[in-house]
Amino acid sequence: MKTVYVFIFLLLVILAGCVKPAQLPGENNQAKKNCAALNGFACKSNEECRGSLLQSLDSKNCCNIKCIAKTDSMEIPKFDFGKTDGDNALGELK
Amino acid sequence: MRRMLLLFLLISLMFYTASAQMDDNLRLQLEVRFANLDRIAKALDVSMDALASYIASINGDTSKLKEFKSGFESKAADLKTAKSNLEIDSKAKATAEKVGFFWEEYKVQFDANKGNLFLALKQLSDALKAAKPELDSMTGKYWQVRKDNALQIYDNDVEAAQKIVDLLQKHKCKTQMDSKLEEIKSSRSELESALYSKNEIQIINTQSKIILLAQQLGDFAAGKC
Repeated sequence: MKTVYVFIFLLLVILAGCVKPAQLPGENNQAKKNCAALNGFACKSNEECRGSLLQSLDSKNCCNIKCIAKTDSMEIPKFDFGKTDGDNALGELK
Repeated sequence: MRRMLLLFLLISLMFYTASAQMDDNLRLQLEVRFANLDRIAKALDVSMDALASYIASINGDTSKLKEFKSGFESKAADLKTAKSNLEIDSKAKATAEKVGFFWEEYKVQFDANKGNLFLALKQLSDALKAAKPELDSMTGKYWQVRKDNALQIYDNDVEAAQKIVDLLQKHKCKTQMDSKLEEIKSSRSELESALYSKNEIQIINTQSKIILLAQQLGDFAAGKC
């Protein structure tokens, strides 16, 4: 009888190891797909994502919008008004 | 394929516009500096003439003074050929050097010929008084150029920023970007009034505020929100 209990216990342990935990509703399913399948854009090392990153199987930089080159001039202007009164040192004119 | 071509054309146009705007802003910045340097050079020119004339009146040797003055004039004219802020800095330094040489030689001649400080200052003051209408007019022109150009730089950059924000429709920080750009746009009247006041502290404070807002907008554009 004791052997039967041990056998059932071992069987339960084995079964528990084989069953995958059920996925909770709303849990991220994105990682199951490749970036292209998620309609994303895989940004290269010289590109950046100005949108949101998606979790994909094949890219750590899967962007929801088109990637932008890091060096391009899509930068916000700096509103550089230039040097103002620094030149007055030439003649100390106020 | 057509979509790709359209996107390429759009991005090319944006690069071209951004680069043209940068050139335009540099031109506007340089114009302000040239107008400022013009009025400074004029005041120095009048002062050097007056001081050289005083040295001549006490029988001093003005040959070196004339040489330095001529060097100053040549450097001041060369200043206007500068194409960048760095080039202006370097040419302004060379011009200031000539002023320094002139001043050193003036002191040598003044002491050697036992100059009278009161008379020398009176000669200088009279010359500056006579040139006052012209100097005032140059100062007026400088402030006009400075006001117009600073506002033009502001308008150019607001327009460029708006184009970028409009393009980034799906950007995760879109709401924050829109709101920050509106904040920048609402600063125009403050900038205009600061420039009208000709108050350096007020101008610097307002411009620094706008620059900070633009940096925050840049952070949002970089996805930091």
